[in-house]
Amino acid sequence: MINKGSHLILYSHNQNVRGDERSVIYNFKKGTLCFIPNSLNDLLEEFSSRPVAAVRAELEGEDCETFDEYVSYLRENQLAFYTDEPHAFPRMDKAYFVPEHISNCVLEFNLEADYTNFSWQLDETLCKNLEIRVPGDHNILIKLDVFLTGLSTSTLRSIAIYLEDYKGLEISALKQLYQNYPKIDKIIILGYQGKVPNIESEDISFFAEEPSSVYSRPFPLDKYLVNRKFFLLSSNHHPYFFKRIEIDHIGNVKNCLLHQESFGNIFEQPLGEIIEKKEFRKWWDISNDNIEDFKDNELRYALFPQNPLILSHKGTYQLEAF
Amino acid sequence: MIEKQQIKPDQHVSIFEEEFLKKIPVFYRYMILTDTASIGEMYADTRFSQSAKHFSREYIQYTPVNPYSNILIEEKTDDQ
Repeated sequence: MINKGSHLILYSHNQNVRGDERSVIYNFKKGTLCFIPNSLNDLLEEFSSRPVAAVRAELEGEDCETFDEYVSYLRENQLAFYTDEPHAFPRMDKAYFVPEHISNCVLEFNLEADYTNFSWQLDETLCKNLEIRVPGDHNILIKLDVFLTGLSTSTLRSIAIYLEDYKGLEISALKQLYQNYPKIDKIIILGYQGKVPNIESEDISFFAEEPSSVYSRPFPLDKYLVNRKFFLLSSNHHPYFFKRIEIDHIGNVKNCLLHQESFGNIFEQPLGEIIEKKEFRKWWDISNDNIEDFKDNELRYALFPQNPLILSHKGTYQLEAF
Repeated sequence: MIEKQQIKPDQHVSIFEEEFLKKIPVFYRYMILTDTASIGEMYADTRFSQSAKHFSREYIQYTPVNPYSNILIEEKTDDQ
């Protein structure tokens, strides 16, 4: 470890965030969180502009001991480093930009519906990720095949398929589907009660839990997403609603399928027209900094909430129940 | 201190015949076998699709770092 240098600064893959009671350092390289007292967080802010020795010189008695403990903590955990040229290591740029109009789409697949026009419209949005929730039916793989063919030259980077188990489901047909469409990232079979087959080459997994229970559960608030991309997204926009469309089985477009409110129907209106609506985009730029329930939480940039929001009289937002 | 990686003799492979090896520099005897899949730059495990808008027939499929939606399944039905 290099102990020479006038300034002590955080590595660029570490980001400190202050909370009401404590602070945390997000480590994007390891995907971990390192909790620190608020006093150390204040010190880190001072270190960014002043030499370590100058900050220490202002302290006396026990404060000096605490200061040394803090510094050795940062060094031992490889969170910060010494340098004589702090300006050569600027803090991470917090801007977030993605070129697509829609990043994520969730679709409740309907056997009776024709998605030809929708496939084309989804491609126009430059959508990146698609999740398809498919009901169990003996004809489903044929229908899915037609739909995926329509998406085979789209801008989609990855497709996740959640399929309800049904009588006569053939594993070989699933493997074939996975091999035929390289955009497929994973296939997950829900409500599967049989013996789980051993599949190595394809990402196909089986779960006993029923689809209705899986789909209706919000993402837990005690699970944290720690990576640079998510941090930048959630510090600028709403981590869930931003550039997302979710479409139910009759074609209604929503911010989230757990919500009641719909903003149009893909079988009645062009998708581009729906996503241009101001009402549909009303929560896109509400980051967790503006939500009363999270704004003092040091982990606010790692949370993935789906709750609808309600504007309070103070001009901030509050979470609403589903 | 960084430890030197120990290479076992059975890791040394040669694609050449013994007769030919006698004629070429000795270090060809010490070539090491490495799985192609272990070298990221070779895209051995990457799946390629197409994108008309990108004029690409080698459009890489990647798993997003963040979840697709609210779904989080933690327990598998198998014994693993």
